Amino acid sequence: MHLKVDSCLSNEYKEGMTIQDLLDYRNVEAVPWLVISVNGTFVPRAKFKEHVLNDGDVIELIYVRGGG
Amino acid sequence: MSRYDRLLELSTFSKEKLELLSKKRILLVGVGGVGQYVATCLVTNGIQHLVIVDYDKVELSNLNRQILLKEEDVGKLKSDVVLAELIKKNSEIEIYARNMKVTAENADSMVEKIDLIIDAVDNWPTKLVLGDLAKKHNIPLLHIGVDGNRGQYCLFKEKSLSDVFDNSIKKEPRDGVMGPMVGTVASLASMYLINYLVGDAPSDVLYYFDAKENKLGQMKI
Repeated sequence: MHLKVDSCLSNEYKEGMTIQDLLDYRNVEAVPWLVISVNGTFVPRAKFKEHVLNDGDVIELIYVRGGG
Repeated sequence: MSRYDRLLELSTFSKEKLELLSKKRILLVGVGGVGQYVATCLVTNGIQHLVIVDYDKVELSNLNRQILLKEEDVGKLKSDVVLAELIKKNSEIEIYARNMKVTAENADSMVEKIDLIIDAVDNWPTKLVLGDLAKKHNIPLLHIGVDGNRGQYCLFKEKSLSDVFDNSIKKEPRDGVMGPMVGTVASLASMYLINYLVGDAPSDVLYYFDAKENKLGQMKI
């Protein structure tokens, strides 16, 4: 299926993938300062393993910063 | 001629909105790079009551991004220096400074009669304390964070900071920071905050900026 991850559209993704599957596939570690949105809406960390992605979803991986 | 003439000429602004801003009592925790930009924007654009909190002393390495500081300030209490500079910007409003380190034990003492808290501190443990404080007292919290080429801000009202940021955050890998990056994120956050306070911007949206990718984005939380 097609996903747009960090502005890059690709059809390489398997149907039924969860957010955690996507992170594993891309070798992205779910570090505590990683925040993810799907189609412009924040997804809580506790939902990474159950949130199933759909064809055409837009995913943003944001590394938040703690400086002031 | 009024100091707010140019603000009032803005097509999306009005005397009524300026009146709204004048009634807000703001607590700003952290007056480093982000906090100094935000404080300057607020005291010159309609906020009439501001409390600033910091415990650091001025260091020479602060001067690349902390716009209110001068070489002669090195070694002085940052809260005192920033207060004096803000009064020079606007001597007609109420600005108070507290030299203290915010902890879970003393945080409650800061929020009496406060309408909104701004988190401009430079570490996650204190950000999480402010998140809990805002939630406990049901006070909106504007979180701002910036480092390296990235920054973000979010006004938590219906949601709280701990709903988004993992409590296990202790310290993310730190990068250096260029002065304009701090100013960019702090200015965006300040503009957003003023719009929020006059009813022109939504709460509970995380806005983020990546300077390397030149990308601005947002997510509803």
